[in-house]
Order: sequence, then structure tokens, then C-alpha cells
Amino acid sequence: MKPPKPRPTETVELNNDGAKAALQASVDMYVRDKSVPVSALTNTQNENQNPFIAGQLAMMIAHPAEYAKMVDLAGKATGADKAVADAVVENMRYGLIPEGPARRAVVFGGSNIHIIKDEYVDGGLDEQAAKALICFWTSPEWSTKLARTGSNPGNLRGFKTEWMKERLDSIKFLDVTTSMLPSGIPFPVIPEATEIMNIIVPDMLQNALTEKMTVEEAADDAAAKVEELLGGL
Amino acid sequence: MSILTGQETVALSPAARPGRVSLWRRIINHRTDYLYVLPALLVMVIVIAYPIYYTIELSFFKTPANLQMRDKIFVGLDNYGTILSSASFREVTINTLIWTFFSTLFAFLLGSAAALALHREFMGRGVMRAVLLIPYVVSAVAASYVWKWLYHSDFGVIGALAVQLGITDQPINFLDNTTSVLPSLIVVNVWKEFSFAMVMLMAGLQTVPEQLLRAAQVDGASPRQRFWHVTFPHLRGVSMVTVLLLMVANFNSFIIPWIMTGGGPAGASDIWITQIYNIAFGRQRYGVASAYAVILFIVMMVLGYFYVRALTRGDDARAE
Repeated sequence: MKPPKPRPTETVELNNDGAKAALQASVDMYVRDKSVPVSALTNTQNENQNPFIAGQLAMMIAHPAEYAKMVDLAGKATGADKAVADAVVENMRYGLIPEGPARRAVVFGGSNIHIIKDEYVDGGLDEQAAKALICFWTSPEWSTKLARTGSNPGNLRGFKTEWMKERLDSIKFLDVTTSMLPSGIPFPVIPEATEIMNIIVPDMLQNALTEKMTVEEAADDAAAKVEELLGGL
Repeated sequence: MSILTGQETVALSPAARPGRVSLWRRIINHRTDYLYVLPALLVMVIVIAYPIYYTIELSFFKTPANLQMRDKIFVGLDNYGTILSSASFREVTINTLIWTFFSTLFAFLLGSAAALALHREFMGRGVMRAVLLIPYVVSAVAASYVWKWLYHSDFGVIGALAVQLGITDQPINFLDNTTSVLPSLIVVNVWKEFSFAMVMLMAGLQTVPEQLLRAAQVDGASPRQRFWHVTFPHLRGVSMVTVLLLMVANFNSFIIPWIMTGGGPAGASDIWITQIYNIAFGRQRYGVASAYAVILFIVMMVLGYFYVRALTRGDDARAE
């Protein structure tokens, strides 16, 4: 009998030299240089939008759709805020995420499609229909069309379609954001990914940025938590 | 047991003892009454008793994210051991105790002061009473978001005012600092809760006999003496109930800490209830979260016991 194929996450790299250097770079910006706003520690993406359109934030990491959001917010602004918001939109530019200590990298988000087992579905499961829906959804054409104003197509061949060209022509700055794709790192598709992305990694950052732990300790602590998590609880 | 009635001795069975009728006999004797409350009892069984039972049951299982719930693994008391031996438990428990103690203390003191102030007749008392009730009637979710922006470390109104008035050079870091975050949340909680204490104590103040206060005044008691020797003893019962209710509410307080900080930064404002939510719905460890909830439930039951005792104090004496 063949041994089970190891899962891609069997080696936890969260505390390797590159990850620690990246964490140290964040600490340098937040703690040493103070080149990042204090609230960056806990602000969510949505909470950055209002300060940005009010001209209070110079730069933020954002999605391709953020420009459309800013145009929308500027359209709703009134009085003195309107002039500031229009100026922000007028001067808005996109750039690539800077190269880090090891390389230029961006973590891809993404979406998953699940087929629920038939025993959990009222009325049974039409597996062929479900597979057909997934084929449709992830096809070059529809993965591009369904993400018209939002994210990039999940199917790589979608980038070569006429609809992608249409998107690039009509959505401002989309070309800049799609040029980050070669530097993309897909997140491992494992059940534990949500906990790693939403809890362990943010905790690691907060532990280091609040100086509750050193960079080494925070990275090792996070790696140990991932190890424990993957160890089957 | 026997009762002597002149020359006769009549033996009574335990079931026939007055006041000691068995529960089953009482149900049969009052079956119509019980039928009336049966629908309500059934609803309570479904929405209260079953979730409690299921939480206790789940606390003995592990529920890995890669397994269906029906495939959960029985681990006995392991989840309790995991919680009690975890590094975060001590920190979270200390946060919970600080949060509960100071929120209760300051909400009660502020509520008492407001109630005493409003007990006196003065112009605009009705308006003032309505204004002070606003925090209590405002939605906790809305209030949390408003306070979050007031406190914002870079663009908050409070920070901007502090800079403009020359109190600080930079906006005050309320929520993005591990030292100041919990006190900042307690301030919001006290603001939200003191009206409750105020209403309770205002009701309690209505029960203080006016004749006693007048008699004390005639006897030459100063306002302070009248408060400590007449008013305060009458408020003891309602104060006890108010403090216990505040404590229960604070142990269970979720909305303010969760919306404003989510327990962060770096766990500095994590309390039991936010930890339970995070373990259950963030980390999908329903077994450990259930064990945590059972521990919280036991604490709540202890407080509940004292609450009921405070409510029913004197009932036995009155019955006699």
C-alpha cells in the first residue's frame, strides 16, 4: 500500500527566515518608523475607505474594485467634503506592492465551491447538475464575466478572453493590479485555512506590532499554533 | 413523625406532611394549573433546556474542522483540561474579572449618584431624566460603532479635541494599545449601563418612608446622617439586586468588546464571552467552546443563586 500523499501544508513555513524578515519589516514600519497610522493595527479594509476618501490616508492596500468604490463615495459626498473627495479620486493611482526582504509577493484571496453530500440536502443531490454548474461558473468566459467589476477571473484562461480585454479597457487601474498576478501566492485550500488566515496570522502580527512578543516569538508562536492545528486538534 | 392530639397519637406519612407534598402529588392536585403553563414550559424546554443539555454534551467532544459534527470524538473532560491549562485562560480570566468588576462598580456608583441627584425636585428634572436614559435605550451595536469612531486612534473626535486643547501632542491611542484598550471599553460599558442602575435605584428611593426622613430631620440628623442611617438601609435590597444583575450582564457582555476590538489587540481585551465566540465560530472548535460556555454557565448559576436569594430575602419571614 502506498503511503498517504503528504498535504502541502505539512511543512509550516510561518517562522522561516523570509516570514520573519517580512514580519520584522512590518514592525519597523509600525513601531520604529511610525510610517503607518496607529489604527492600522486593527483597521479593516472598509474602515480605511472613509479616511481615504476624506484625504486623511495617503496609501492603502486595496482591491481592483476600490477605485470604483471611491468614485461611488465621491458621488455621495456633499459640501466641502465633495471637493476633497473629487480631488482624491482625481489623484488616485495604483502601484505594485513593494518588494519585501525576500521577494515581491501578494496572497491571493479566492472563493470555494462546495457540493454538500446528498444526505444533508433536502430532495437529494443531482451531482451532474452540480458539476455542470461548477463547469459553467469556472469557465474562462463566466469566471471573467461574473467578476466583471470585482475580482479577477478564477480561471487563468479567462485572462486571455475578449471579456478580460473589455474589463481592462473599462476598469481604471485594473492593468496595474493584474500585473501583480505573477507574484501571487495561492493560499492552501485546506479546512484549517480560515483559522490560519483570520486568527493565527492576525494574532501573530498584533503580538509583534504591540511588542507583546518579539518578532521571533510571534512567528514561532504562530507556527506552533498552525502545527497544532494541522496535527488534528 | 407523630402529632399528639390529647390522648391520641396520629402518625403521618412523609407524603402527608403539611407543606411536604410530593411534586407528583402536587402536579396531580393542580393539573389544570399545570396544563395552563404547559405550552410555556414546552417552549422553555426547546429554547433553553435543550441548548443547555446540548452544550454540556458537546463539551465532552472534540469537533475537528475536517470532521462532520456527527463524527465528533468523545474526549471526556479533556476540553476542560485544555482550557484550564491553556496560556490564554489566565489572561482572559483576568481581563474578564477586571471588565466585570470595574464595569459593575462604576456603573453602580454613577447610577447611584444620578438617582440621588434626580430624586430631588429641580427645574428640568424630567428632561434630565430622559437625557440620562438615552445610553440605556440606544442600541448597543450603534453605540459601539459610534464610540469606536470617537476613540479612533488617528481620526477620532476625542483624540482631535485632546490635540486642539493642547492636552496631548498626538491623538490618544485608546483602542490600538494593549494597556489602554480595556479601560477604554469599560468607560463605554459604564456609559451604556449606568442608566440601568439609575432607574433601579430611583425606584428604590421611592420606597424610603418620608416620615422616617422627616423624623430624622426633626431629631437633628444631618443630610449625610439621614442618607447613611435612613436612605441607604432601605436601598440595600435593590442595590444588591442591581449589582448582581450588572455582574451577570457584564460577564455575558459581548456586543461592545466584540464590535469595538474583537478582543484585540493581541488579546488585550479578550474576555470569556468573546473568547467563546472566537473559539466556536472563528476556530470551529465547538467542543472546547462548549466547555468554556459550561464554565461560564456555572459562574452565572452561582450569581443567579445569590440573585434569587436577594430577591426572595424576607419571603420566609413574611410567610411565617
